[in-house]
Amino acid sequence: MQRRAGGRAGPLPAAIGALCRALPLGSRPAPDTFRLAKFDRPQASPELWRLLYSLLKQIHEGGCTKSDTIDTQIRFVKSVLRYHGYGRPEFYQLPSDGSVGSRELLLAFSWLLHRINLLEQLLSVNRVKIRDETSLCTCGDNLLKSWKGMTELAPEHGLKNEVDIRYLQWLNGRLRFQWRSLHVDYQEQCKLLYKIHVYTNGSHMDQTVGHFSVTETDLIRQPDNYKQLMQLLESETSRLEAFLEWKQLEPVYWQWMETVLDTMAEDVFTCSAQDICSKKTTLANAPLCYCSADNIVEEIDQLTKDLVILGDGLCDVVTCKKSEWHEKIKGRERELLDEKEFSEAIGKIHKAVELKLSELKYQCAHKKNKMHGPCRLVFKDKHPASKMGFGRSRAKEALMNVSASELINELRMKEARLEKELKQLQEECRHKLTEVADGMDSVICIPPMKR
Amino acid sequence: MVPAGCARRLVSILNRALEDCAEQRRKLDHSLNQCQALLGDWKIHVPESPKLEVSTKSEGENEPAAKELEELELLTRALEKVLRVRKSVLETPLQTVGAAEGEKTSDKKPAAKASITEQVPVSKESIPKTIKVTSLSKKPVTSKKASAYVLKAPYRTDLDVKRSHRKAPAQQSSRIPRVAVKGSTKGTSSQQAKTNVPVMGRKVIYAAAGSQQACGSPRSPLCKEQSFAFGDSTNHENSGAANLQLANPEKNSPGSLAESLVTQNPMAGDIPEWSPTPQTCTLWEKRSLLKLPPLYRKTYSRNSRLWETCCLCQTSAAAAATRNHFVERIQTTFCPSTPTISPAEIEEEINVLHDAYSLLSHRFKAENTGHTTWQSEYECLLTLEGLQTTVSQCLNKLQQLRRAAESQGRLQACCIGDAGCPSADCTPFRGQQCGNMSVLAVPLLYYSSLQELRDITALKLQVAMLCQKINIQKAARSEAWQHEDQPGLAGHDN
Repeated sequence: MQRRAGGRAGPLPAAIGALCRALPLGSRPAPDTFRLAKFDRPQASPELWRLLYSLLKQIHEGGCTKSDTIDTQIRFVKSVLRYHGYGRPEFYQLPSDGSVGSRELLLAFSWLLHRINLLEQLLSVNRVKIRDETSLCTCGDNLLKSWKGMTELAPEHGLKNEVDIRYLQWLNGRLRFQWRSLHVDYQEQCKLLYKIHVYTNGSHMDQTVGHFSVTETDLIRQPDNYKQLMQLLESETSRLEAFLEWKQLEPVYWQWMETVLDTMAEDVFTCSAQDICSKKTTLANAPLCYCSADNIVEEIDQLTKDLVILGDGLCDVVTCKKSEWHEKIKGRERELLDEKEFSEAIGKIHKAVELKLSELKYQCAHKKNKMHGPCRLVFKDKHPASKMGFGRSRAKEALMNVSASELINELRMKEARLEKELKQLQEECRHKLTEVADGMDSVICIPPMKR
Repeated sequence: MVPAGCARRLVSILNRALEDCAEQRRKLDHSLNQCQALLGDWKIHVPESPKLEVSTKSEGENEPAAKELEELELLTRALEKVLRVRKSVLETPLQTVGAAEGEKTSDKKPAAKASITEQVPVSKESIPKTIKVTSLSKKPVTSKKASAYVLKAPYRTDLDVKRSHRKAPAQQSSRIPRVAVKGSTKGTSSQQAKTNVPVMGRKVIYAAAGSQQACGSPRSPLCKEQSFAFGDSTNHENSGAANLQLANPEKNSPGSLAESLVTQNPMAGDIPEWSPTPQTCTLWEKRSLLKLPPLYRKTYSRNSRLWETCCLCQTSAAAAATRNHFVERIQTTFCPSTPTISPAEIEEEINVLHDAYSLLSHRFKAENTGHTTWQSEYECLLTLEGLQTTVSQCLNKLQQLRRAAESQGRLQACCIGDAGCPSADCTPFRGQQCGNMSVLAVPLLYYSSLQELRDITALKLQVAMLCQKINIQKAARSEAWQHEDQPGLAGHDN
């Protein structure tokens, strides 16, 4: 291996070493594993399975919570790879005791490195929490995440055959109460956080922030409690350095991976590739219990419905306006401006609209990144005498920095949208109920009090 | 009564929601406790030597105890010298506390100068404490002289004085029993202090002060002094053991701390009696004085610089080329029946289309306003037409995605059977969290007032709650209308 790297113990071991050091501390493989895997040595397989499992678990929350057996781990890894579109049949055919297949695993690992920016994801997921963080969106909210994946729910133990509607109402009431308490608690936390930020303003050496975070203040108060934090910071620093090193040496690694493919091609020479891939049955071996397609289709249908309604609405308005416009034009033809001027004006309008629309199209086709993801909460006094300026903020991040007022506007719009949707659903329900009630003879339906 | 079948789903949804809420509250409680502890009284550390050893170990220093005792000796001698100086100064007539302020500075200065020359560089926190001990256990000097401290104008004295007054009595009672040091002779107390140092640390100091309490008036200048000294620990002119005590937990820079301590010690000798110093203080009091430990500062700046570099780090062209080549090659070995769009991509595209939908409907509403000139009318017409085309494009894409999702589903369906996967203990994952432009960079959210922060939090919570309500509503609706025809069905959750 070293010989292939060019006659010296040089870039390849360094590249693999950097790669290993950039991985999180608990999941680091021995660099030798890679070499063993290239030649498909079975002793490397369990380690590679473990590696993949622990790395993917960090990125994808989910997977098996109960058992940690090799079997379930392997299934998790396979389903994640399936989720990302990895299509090598040999990989999915690997036995679930994890005894063989190190080369396949190496290939899968390298493919993941590229496909999901594995290293960057891991670095970002394992970021040491020393800053006051919050999120710009509610996508990652636990309260919402659990909804999307719920298909088969575990049966409730102790549930009688029938449930009184009042039990459901009671649960609902409890939920409302919990929300209210949460609200109160959150407001309290805001107050405390604000105080801490204001009090420590001006003391931080990092000028873009200016004040301490809660963790940092606690670090000052009780330095002894935070030894582990310091160690984590140190390890993160070394991981970042390894990452930068890896970026330099990346080409070497990928070239080496090609040689792995070559080696494999040689070994497989005798087997007929066509037999391996037998369409459906092969990939069907991939356990897909971890991603469910039903919800997706449901979502797509719902979205289609919404878009169709929107499209119809647009259609109506457009036809209406078009006819108006034509009439206007006809009416104006007599007292019209100069033909040239008119067409000029029209041309200008066309251009402006095109610009607007192209921007819109771009936004519709691409991931909206501005108001998403985690962010760091920073207090910035609007007082002009504040010694902190924006001068030092780094250019790239400055693009992404968000002000509270922007976020508030965004959230308000979202809130309005959701409220409308909820009201619509409730109306629908009410409407149907009245229908049902009307259909029942000698039954008076008393709807609940409107709060 | 709701039949068990549909009730089960609703009940589990509601229970799940309650569990999530409870978990959020738990996390919130924990962080609230932490914040409240930070804003409340900070207990002054009584770093017994084991603690000290630990902290010094972490800093990589491991000085032998012998050296410590040596320095102790030197310091004690220095203090004794200063005391003698002080004694002579004490001959001057006493003045009122208020008037003493002017004198404080002058009185302090000679002593301060004396102490500065006798500074012994110390690197351990324990040493300053012992010094404090020895110095504190001086015989009572008249109050006015004792309050020979430099007052710093900006500091509010009254508040702090009141605080110390309040605290002092409380501290005394708790501290005195634990102290072995009593009496007023400096000799004995310093001896005891020396022996006690490894164990008692500041406890001794406080106790000594308490036991020698004379009158109440000295307390105020002392306490004032404390807060001032506290306010400016880097200023060597400022004396006050309080500075030591209070500053210690905050500043892990033993060097500067020790220096200030040394200068203060002679001053402390002037204190007639060391009134029980408040052993707690708050974040508010020390707010502008706090400094992060130097080790942390170093690590933090290194860390943030590295993050910056990593964010800006681009994949070199060579790396990209080799990587893509490998990936293409490996993709040729993929099974042909693999759908071209992976489930991850489908989900991503759906999210994009969700956003597109809201954007489009928002624009639609915006354009529906009245227009005055014919130009704006025409513009509006064109924009709406453009929106229409975009909507149909989105619809086409959705159809594509639907087909892809269906084929994935078919693939899944034939595997579920033979794989025999135990769906009971698997929680389906929905994919990665929403990302930023660059995964590595974390944007900053700037807020400038408490109200903004409150609004953000309240709105986020409201949005989450509304989403949950909508989900519950949808579930209830789907459950309810399954049994539409069943008579006698009571009303459902609305």
